[in-house]
Amino acid sequence: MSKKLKKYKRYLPLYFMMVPGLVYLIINNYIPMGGIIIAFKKFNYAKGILGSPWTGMDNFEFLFKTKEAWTITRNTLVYNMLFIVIGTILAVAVAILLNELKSVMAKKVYQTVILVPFLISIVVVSYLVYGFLSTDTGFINRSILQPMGKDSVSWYSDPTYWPIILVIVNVWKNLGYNCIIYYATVVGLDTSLYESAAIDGAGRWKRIWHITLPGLKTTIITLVLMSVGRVFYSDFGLFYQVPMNSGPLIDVTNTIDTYVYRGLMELNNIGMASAAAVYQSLVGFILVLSANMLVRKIDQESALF
Amino acid sequence: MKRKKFTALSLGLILSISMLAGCSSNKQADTTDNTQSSTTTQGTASGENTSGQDAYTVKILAPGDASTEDCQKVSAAASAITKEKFNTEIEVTRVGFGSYDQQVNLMLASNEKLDLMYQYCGNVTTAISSGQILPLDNYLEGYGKDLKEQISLDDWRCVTFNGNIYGVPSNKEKATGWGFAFNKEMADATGIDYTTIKTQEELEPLLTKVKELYPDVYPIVSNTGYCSSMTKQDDLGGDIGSLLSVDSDNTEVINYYASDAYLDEVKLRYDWAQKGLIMPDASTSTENANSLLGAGKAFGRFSNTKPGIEQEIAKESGKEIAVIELIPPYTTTTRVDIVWYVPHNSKQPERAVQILNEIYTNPELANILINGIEGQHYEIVDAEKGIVDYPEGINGANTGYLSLPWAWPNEMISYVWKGNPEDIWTQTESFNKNAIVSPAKGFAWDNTEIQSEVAACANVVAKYDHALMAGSLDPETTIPKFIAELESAGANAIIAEKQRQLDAWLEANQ
Amino acid sequence: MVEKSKVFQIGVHCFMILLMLFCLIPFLLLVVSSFTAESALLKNGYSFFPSEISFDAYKALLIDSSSILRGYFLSFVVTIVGTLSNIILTLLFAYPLSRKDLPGKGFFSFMVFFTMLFNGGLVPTYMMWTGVFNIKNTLWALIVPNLMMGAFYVIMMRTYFTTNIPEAVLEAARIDGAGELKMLIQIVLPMSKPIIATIILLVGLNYWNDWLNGLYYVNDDRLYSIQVLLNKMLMDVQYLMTNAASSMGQSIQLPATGIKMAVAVMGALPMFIIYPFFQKYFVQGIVIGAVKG
Repeated sequence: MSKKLKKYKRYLPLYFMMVPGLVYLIINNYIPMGGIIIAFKKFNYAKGILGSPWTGMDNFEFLFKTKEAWTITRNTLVYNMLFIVIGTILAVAVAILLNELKSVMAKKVYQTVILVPFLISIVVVSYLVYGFLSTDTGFINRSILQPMGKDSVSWYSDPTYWPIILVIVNVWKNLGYNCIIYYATVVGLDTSLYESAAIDGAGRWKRIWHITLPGLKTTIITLVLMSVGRVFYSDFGLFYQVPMNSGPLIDVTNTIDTYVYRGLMELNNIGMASAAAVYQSLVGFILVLSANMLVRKIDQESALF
Repeated sequence: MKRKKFTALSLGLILSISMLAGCSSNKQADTTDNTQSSTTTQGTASGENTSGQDAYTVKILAPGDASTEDCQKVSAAASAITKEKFNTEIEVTRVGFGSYDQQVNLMLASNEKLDLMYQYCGNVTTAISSGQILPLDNYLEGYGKDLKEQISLDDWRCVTFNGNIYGVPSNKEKATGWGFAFNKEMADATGIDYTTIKTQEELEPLLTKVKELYPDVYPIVSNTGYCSSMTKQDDLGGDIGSLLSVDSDNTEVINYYASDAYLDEVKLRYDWAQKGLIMPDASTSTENANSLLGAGKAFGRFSNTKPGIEQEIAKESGKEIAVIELIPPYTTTTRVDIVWYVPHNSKQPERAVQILNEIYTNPELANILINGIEGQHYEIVDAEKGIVDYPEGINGANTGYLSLPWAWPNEMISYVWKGNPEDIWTQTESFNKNAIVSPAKGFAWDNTEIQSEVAACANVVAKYDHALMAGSLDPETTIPKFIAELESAGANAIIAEKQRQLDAWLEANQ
Repeated sequence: MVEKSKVFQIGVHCFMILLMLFCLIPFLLLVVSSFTAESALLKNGYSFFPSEISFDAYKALLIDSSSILRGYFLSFVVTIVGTLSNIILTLLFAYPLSRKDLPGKGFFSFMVFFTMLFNGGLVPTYMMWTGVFNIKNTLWALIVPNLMMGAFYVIMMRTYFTTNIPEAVLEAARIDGAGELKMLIQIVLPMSKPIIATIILLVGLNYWNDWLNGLYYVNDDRLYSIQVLLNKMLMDVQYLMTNAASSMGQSIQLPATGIKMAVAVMGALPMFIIYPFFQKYFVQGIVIGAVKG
């Protein structure tokens, strides 16, 4: 008994360290989480959250009652999976290459520049994309296709290009952000391992394969797991503003978030909006729990919790 | 270990419940307070000796940007009038359009003090069914006599739900016509007599000729992606389900997107787009039509019509503009589009109505709230005709109190800004009076019971309507898909519900 | 061997330069179009070599230069205070979670992660911060809600600690009699400079770029940070453009496209100026971290 107490006493300072963070989480996240019940209520501003009448699952109906349900789920999932796979591979590759570079100056410059797109808000990105793709005034039609004697392309009316355009825009915008996290981990890897590997005469690729990548494994798994949790969410700006809310593109750009937005713009119904959020979170939660369980079976160290 | 988990969880739970309960019980206390105070005050002060009332501050929320400092000045100036008359102070807060909806929602949810607010009509049924705004009937009798008298019965009906009045319609233009606005100089150069054009089809020779003369100019451009429809439908307060035409007595609710009128119009637009008369990708352009007119890239645009529309477009584009009216002005419930509400947060709604009544009828007070402080935010150019302009060095971009007359309860008793027709208010009055009245004007659509369908249909309309109106899609193949998707999204259920409500309303208001 | 390495270096440079162009060219178009006259833009399209240069967009934005300056100042204050508090909270939370032997570690990790998945929505959060803590229209509104500690950063930092700090080092320190706080400051911190620098950078960017808190919690123009100010202008321009059907009284002629682009340039500009300075410490931090490790 006293041994156990002693053990806890040893950890006491660690628990104390967590107190400020815990308090913040409780105030900022956990208490407001009570608001999730709005999803099951016919929310009345005058009666407050608890006073409003229950409606069961009524608020969820609009998500499934539509023929679009399949399309929006498919779009959301497929795009997110593409983003995760392509984004991770590219970011890891760039981080490793950056680390292999000898010139400190070049490292700095590259690192700064690839972070530039992240600084621009998605609304402005949408104008920028428009600057490139606009049928009439766009850079691609005006300055590339026309001088080459080719016909202009109506980018915003032709859905075939958009899956690629959206992936490119997403990579462009987020590469620097993802990359910098991996880069920090690579840089922080124990260099004595490298040195001994170099002495052993291991080639560059062998070194990357046997030392760098395994060193990054936990970080990659963690980041991917976190993205899996948000796999039912989508970047609203990317799917609504970047395609300029163009009707003919909706089949390939409609995601759960844009569907909810278009449907509720006029209705302004808080209950239905939170129902959508609960649905998105719940699916993500189940997916991430299963994924995490899998990871834990294979590699206890890398699991999220 | 197990116990710790439990205590942490239950602590969170208790905290959250007490917080939520705290909020809602406060609210209940407030509402009972409201009813008590309103019944007591109603008995004593029936509009007579109002300066002896308790002191009270009416907090007003209006759209448009203004600096906090200047709002305080305006509030002080307005309070000087109301303090003496009603022992009431006014506190004006203004929120920019970009964040207006968000902030209103949050303020209403969090029970912050608020007595009067501006809101678009689009949300009114949700606002009522979710308890955001208060019924005003009881207060209008004692505190809003002038409002009651001056606003027409038809207009009151537009804001009446389940027998209760929920808002006060602003006095402004309450009708709209539709037409084609274009660069007059280019039109004159064609030598075509455009004054005889009466329908959309008849525009074609003019457009073709313009294209011939000015190959670099688009005969028709969209405004931020939309080419207005030249329609006579009454959309009966929004969503799916319309009366085909306001000038017939037929009150059958139909799916307008499945009507011949819609088909004909989008066919014409498609034909024009094929002939190069409409700018390419009109439905996704982010360009403002008036900027395109101004840059000399556009010949014309479809537009709503109302008194002063030529001047308005001319001012924004910097070109001389002529407008052909294609659809004469008509009025429906949807056109009563600016409404002032008393939110549920108001502690003394009767005092809010009292002040609203004063803003609606007292030009001095209205001018302060609309235009700000004389000499700082505006100056009088012509005192006799009541014409104002910005003082030296001030303009719409740097003023500390942006003037948006239409957003206030009664712009028609305020000064006229230079550049508008001097008699704009009389013109507006006759415009309203002469407008065709829809047989369903005053019918207020309540979509609370059918919101899933409304949300699904809104998505379908977003997919097709703008693109069809801009001529980007071939109607032959698109319309059948459009209609089929609408129907599977529940359009017919909405239409049936609307018809049921409309029939009941017609019965009650014969 | 040496030759091979050189070829490799050149190859990597080529790849990185291509990538750099991919990132930079669109941004260049953005900058150029913010200086292009509106009429030239509509007539000749977007181009890297505009036919007519104009400063109208910047003039329109800078019309009220005192509020822009105040906005920059507020943004700096908010970013510095916010980032510092965030990094302290994150460090203090992540370090215990990285200790494999801590009882309840799984539960607390889960508790953090859970906040990434579920939230009560804007309304309850707003009620919490304005109703209980009264932060509406105060500087706190820009600092406290949602940004002060994020699950993502806690988990990133924890992951870094578990991968890059050998347990043996901590064990040795404990045997030497060091307390937990001392261990955190004297051993863990120096070894974690790369991740700390990264998180400072990312959190700092979040604070700098944030305008939603301003949108929800502030309507006093004296408390508009630069992003709130710029985004408000952007939204109002957009609104006035799309809703011109309502009579606007007196409308203003605005170089709409230029303004959108200029807003982005002005919002991002200070970061470009500061980042290289910061990067020096960033790289230095890495070097020290590497040596100690």
